Amino acid sequence: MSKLLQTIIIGAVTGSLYSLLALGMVLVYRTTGVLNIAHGGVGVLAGFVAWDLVQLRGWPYYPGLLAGIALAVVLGLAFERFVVRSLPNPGSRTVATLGLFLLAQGVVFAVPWWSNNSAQVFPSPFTGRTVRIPGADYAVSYDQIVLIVTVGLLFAGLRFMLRRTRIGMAMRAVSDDPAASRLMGVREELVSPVVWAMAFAIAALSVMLIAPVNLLENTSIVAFTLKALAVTFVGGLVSLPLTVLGATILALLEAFTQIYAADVRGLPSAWPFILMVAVLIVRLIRPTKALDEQALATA
Amino acid sequence: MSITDVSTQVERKLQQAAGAATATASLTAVRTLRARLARLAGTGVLVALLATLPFAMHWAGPAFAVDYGLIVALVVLAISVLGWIGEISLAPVAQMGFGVVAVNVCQVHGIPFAFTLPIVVLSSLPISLLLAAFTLRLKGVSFAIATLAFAYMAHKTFFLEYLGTYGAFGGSGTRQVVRPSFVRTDESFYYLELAVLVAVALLCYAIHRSRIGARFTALRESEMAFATLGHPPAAYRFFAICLSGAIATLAGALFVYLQLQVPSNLLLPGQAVLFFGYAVAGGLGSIGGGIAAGAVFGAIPKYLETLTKSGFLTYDLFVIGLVVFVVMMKAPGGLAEIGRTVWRKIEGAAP
Amino acid sequence: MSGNGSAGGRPGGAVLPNQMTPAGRRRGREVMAAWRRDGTEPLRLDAYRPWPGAAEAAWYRPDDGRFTEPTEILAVEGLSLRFGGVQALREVALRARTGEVTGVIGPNGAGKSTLFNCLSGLLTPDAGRIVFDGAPLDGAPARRARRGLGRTFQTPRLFKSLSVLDNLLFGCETADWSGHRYVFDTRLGRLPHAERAAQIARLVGFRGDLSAPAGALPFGDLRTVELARALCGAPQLLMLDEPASGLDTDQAERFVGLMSSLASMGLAILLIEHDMALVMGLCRQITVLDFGQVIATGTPDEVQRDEAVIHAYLGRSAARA
Repeated sequence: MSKLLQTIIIGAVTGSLYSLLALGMVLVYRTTGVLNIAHGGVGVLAGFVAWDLVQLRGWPYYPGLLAGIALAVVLGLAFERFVVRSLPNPGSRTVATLGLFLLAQGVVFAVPWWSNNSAQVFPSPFTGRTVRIPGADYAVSYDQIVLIVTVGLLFAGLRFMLRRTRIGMAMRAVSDDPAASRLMGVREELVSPVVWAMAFAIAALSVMLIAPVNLLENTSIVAFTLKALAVTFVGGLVSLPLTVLGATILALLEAFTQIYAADVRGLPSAWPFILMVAVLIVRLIRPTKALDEQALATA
Repeated sequence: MSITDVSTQVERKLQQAAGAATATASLTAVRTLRARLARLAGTGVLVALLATLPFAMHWAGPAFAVDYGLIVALVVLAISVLGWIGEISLAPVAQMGFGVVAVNVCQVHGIPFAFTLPIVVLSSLPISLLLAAFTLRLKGVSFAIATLAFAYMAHKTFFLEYLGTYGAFGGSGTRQVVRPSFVRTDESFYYLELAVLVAVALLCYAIHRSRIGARFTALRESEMAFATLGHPPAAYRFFAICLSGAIATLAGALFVYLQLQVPSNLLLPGQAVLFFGYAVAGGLGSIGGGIAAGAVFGAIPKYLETLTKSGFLTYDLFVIGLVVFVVMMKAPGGLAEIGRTVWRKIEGAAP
Repeated sequence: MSGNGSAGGRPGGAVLPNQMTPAGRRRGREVMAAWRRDGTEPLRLDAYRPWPGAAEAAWYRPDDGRFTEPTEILAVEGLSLRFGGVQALREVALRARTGEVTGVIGPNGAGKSTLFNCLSGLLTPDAGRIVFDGAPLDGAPARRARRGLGRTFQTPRLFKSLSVLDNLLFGCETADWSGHRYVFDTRLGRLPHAERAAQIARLVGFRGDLSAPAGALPFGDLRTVELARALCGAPQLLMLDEPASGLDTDQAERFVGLMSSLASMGLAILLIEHDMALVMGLCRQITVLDFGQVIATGTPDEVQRDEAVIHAYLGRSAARA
């Protein structure tokens, strides 16, 4: 019983982790058509800066956290202002995010005192405190609870923003038809920075929340980003609820096979791709031809 | 006095001497003459450079670096070829891995070298078929993610098992690949690689210039019009995927001959993202640009590593990211576009 | 607007090559009067002159291969398609015959282009039967094109990086596969591709440089070249989606004359258009769609008198008037 509960909790926490990263990517894709490859990379960079300030230079936790997020916001605004605006189409902008990813990773690797050979411990003020589950001898840490709660809030917040608020409508309008939205008074150069700044801020926040739970380590977080990518695929890159669902399913599958079927070699790490294959098969079976989407756009 | 000054003076003299019509004809003649000279000189320089490269660069580092550069050039060409249909593939590194496996299988069964490379190319077809099954109906981002999924599946389920987690070929290193005797040294291996690269490049060039190349362009521009004119888009996409796969698999075979041992962590899909960055820098869809970018970005870091005594390693990602940025902002067509503009200036043709 | 009456001097001013009947012209004037009452722009019941260059094209013989009997080449029954929560097509039935121009009209969003996409194979209908040239029409768009189905698009879809000639050559390749002859001139089939393309380009009135990239063409030329490309494919049925929109008066006149001549030589043409005068004057049969349903089918005369059509286009008050 306790093992089952433990597995479920691990699945929920990991699922929240994937959701956090995936939701940020879906936000950007849905509002700009760009696949933000740099999402995890910038997040890790912000995380390391915050860690540097808090752990190495003795800053208090929350200012350090805010500094990391501020850095991500500034990067997002700069990226939008100098790069995204000068590029004509989502394809080249996606490639630009690749460049940004490499740059961010380059910085993380190049700074010598961040020594990326080992994982860094980055506790939050909540670390160490736990909540005992009544009737079981397993305890959930505050950090894990904060993670799950944050994902819930983020999901609800994004959904509300995109559907009900003016800024959300503006984002969707700009992504659908920039020229028409300009004629309607929605200015892309005001909406676009908000999108990018928000996305990178979410990335930074995600890494800050991941760090206490999972240790701050470049390789594993970038690997999480890849899994988040698989998860966004489940949601078709646009659907918020499907993304969270996909993340939860993936995490639960991984947790269950890791604990109950640990002897099946390679299975836990193969789940993201089994999931992607399943999505692809579903797409192949449904009678929508590739040309249909283009034709529908002009019908 | 530069060439430009001389030729402008000649043009002016001719214009004064004869009427306008004659002058125009002479102008064109001069330009063509200059263009022809430029082309001749350029080809000569290129051939001389390619023929002596490993030795010429000895001051910078071992021949291994340029050998590695040529392999990266092949992989980047594989990625660039898929740009003909307007798609991005992140599977080439996995396809390299299958090339590694194919060479190993050939050596285990004692197949002579002359037959190994053709067999490797043929063995790429079933893999390309599998990849196409995943990706044929997808476009854009979905296509790229699907190739990434394929690459990861290949890595986790096949390579890790086949190559072992830490080594190559069973993890004990006992089943090392042996190079044929005529290419024992890295310098001599360079010429083999060069021959393969030139052959592949000529093939791609021939395809691109033919009617089939025009069809690829048409498919990329408007798939709807293409289909309603009687051409099946799926067939052409499949052909591009197979061509790309064959080139990448060949690169993998050459890679294992170069390294003699390929640990599985060199075949991580993340590497494909890096190679894609190189392809962008070279110009997606461009043959010469892709090869040049691959060779430069493959070889130069290795040279810099030797020159800076491994100091470069920490900065390589940063530099490459910066280069991708600069290329995207200033010359979206990559090296190919830069090359064309520069060459036109040299030829003296009208801008 | 060439309302100068120099249209061959017929009373009423409307001279169209084949099908405008006196009753039709009267009805057109009534519709125009109703529109003027409502303060809308009057229809252009212009004089469309026959294709001016006809006599000059040495290779063009209007009597060559003139067919005698119109035969049914396309039969659509019960075509239905639903997507995005909207019933885009609802039990649509349509017939097209060789030697005739069949019009498909309707308000915006009625499903006309959707219908074309279903015929081309770009969309898969939920239900319905399409019979083309005696056999059921199914399969990928490429396969349908090779059976002799040519089309143009609402927004011209040329291959912009390729030259005009290259674009036309694609059409010639389609002709090779379909094996059909060119209904408007059988001798074209014997010419090499490049010459064929050049002749057809002259036929449609393209006066530009064939080696120029298609992306550099002015807008009016885009439509012309797309039409030429479709014609190069030796289609048995030519589907045109708003081919006259964006054309100036001269080009529109030429276009009408050309279509009429091609039809009279045996080509089956299916035409979506918004220009009422053009449609009423050019088409022998018209199908009217509204909200994905066929609300009227018949000759221009019958359609103009049909209450449902007037209601759809002009509103209930006009229908009652």
